[in-house]
Amino acid sequence: MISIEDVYFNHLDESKEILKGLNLQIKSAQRVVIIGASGSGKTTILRLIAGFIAPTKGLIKFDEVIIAKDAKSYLPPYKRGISMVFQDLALWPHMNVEENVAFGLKMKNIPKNQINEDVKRYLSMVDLQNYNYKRIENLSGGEQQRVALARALIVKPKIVLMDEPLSSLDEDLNKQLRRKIVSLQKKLGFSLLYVTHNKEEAKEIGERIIVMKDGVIREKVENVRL
Amino acid sequence: MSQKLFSWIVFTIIFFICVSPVAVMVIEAIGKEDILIQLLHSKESLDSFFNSLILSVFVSFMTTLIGTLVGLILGKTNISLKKAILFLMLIPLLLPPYILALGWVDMLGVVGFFSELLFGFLGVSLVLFTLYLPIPVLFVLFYLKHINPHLEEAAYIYCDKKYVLSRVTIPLILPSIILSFLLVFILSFGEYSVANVLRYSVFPLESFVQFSAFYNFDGAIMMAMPMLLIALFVLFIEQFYLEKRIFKYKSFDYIHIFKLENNQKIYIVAIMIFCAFFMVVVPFWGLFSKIGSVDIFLIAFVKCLDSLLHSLLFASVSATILTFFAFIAAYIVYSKVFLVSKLIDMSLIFLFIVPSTVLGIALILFWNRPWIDFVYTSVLIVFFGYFAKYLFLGSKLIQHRFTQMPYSMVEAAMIFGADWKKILKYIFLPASYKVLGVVFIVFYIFILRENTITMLVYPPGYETLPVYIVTQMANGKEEIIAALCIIMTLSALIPFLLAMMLFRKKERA
Repeated sequence: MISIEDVYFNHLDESKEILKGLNLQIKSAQRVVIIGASGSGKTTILRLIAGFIAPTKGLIKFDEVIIAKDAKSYLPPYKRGISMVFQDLALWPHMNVEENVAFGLKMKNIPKNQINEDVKRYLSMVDLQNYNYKRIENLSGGEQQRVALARALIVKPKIVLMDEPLSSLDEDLNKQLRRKIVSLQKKLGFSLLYVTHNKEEAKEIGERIIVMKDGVIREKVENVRL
Repeated sequence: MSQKLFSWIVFTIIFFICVSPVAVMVIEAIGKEDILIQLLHSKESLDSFFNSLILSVFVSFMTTLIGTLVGLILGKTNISLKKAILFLMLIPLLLPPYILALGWVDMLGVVGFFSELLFGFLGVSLVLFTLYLPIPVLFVLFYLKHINPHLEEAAYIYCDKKYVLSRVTIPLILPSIILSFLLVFILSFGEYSVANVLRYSVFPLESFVQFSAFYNFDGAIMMAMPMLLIALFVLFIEQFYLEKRIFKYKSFDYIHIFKLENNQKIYIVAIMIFCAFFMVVVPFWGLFSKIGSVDIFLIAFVKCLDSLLHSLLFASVSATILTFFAFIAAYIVYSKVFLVSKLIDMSLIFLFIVPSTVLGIALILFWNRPWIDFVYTSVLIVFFGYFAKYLFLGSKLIQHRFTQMPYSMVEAAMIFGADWKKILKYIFLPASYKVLGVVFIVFYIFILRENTITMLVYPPGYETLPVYIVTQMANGKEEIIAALCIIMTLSALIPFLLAMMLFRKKERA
């Protein structure tokens, strides 16, 4: 379980507080969606959990272990057991599809044949069989999105952070992929923290929906539709 | 006038002024291969060719290796004094190359163990290394700014910072590292003034000597051919290999910084300041110690006043005209007008990488003929030399600015009926004021420090300060030469510093 307790955040060179005393718990295998306008602090929560930044004040716990507290981070991102899908997907343009997806496993020194098997399995899971050697720039937006998804899931993370990953897709593709994300989450059992500003997306994906405004949580809703 | 026609007119001007002299030189060389074979048969020429080759490979390898490391430290870590370190490193690039060599000679003298090291491969390598180190540093810094920080953060989820650097950051900037290697290679291969001061035989000097000492024009042309071939080879790699591999990135709000521990920061800053101090400040200390008194400085100032004024005049007038042409050339290249944009881009790159000796000889050969010799006998030929050599620099900087602008700005203007001239005037020009200022300063500094082309082509009575210092090296007093070098340094650094302050003030505002 992830626990965020009384967290404040502001950038070093700016006085404006982006998060103001945030409290949030994410249980294992739960899908939590954060919704809010631009500048409300949604992405900052993801970056704090990922470990790219540390809270100015307050603490973050993973399974009751403090991993960041009062401007200090005790665990680097690669030791947190997380994965992330970025808004711009952040696929490495100098690597092909297979290299992108296999990167996380290579860094864990997994044997090559195991990596090949896993890459094949996860690419087929996102319907990208035979895309192994394609270059990223030659893929459509939807295909790139699925590569990012496979890259995030192949390392079997405990929690996946998603920062508006579908925002650049058209409505049909968006619907199709949000269903895919939910079905993969159910199948693989990871916790999902999903950031969006799209209410429809939030309702379809989230078991819990958190509404943010100006760095504070305005509302926590258990999604009754699910 | 249509944009296509205008583009072809601009290309014709560039081709006629700059490219055709080199083309004519190649045509003149056809059928005279026996002269080259004869010249290369001499042991001195062959030795100097291999000296140049080994020297430029060594210098480009070392500068690229160390420059990439320095660029990564300056661009990706949280060390302090970054700007001061970068400024110290940049100083040699702003000056005629031989000034550092003269500084080292004044520091170490002409006899003794260290002086023996200085007058040879190691000494020339050290000076050229110091001179060209800023190139890979600036390339790396520039490309780091254009890497999407999310690409590195996405890797940081799976591996530590060392792997992020080696698997993501460095591969992403690799084309720019290769490009800076090639650029340093070609610049060090064409550079002879440092080797001349440190009495080391290099190939460009052979071509220069054939022309200026033996008045053997055919010999000079033929000796220029191997250098031309190397420049063409580099152009080929740039156009057909690297251009496709340089990823087109946008500017981002922030750079992913690798935070270092306090003690690591102190060690790194101390090492970098020590190295920069050793490479840059020590030779200047040599020059200062040679001058001795303010009187010498004043005597030198009076002696060089005419040439200093020529330098300042040439630099300011040429920089103004070149800025205008660079803007036009950048716009044509950016607009991708069929064929002509590519031709202009390739011509400018080619002229930039052709060694200055080759360019100078080509200009003389082309413009010293009946009907058009008014160019050869006037300062126009000096201007044409600067035009050919440096237009590329400004054009590339302005092109970069254009690519940062959303194309929708152009489309929005087109909807209201603006043609290409109005788009250029009302959209591109106002959006480029700052970069045009930067380009002017770049031109100004590079023209002010230029000595090879000017030395070859300047008409009598119009020598510039860098040329005057070279002529003084033959029989001038050492302390006067040292003082002249300091005057040259100040005349380059003062406008550079003023411009930096101005830009900073405007940025803050």
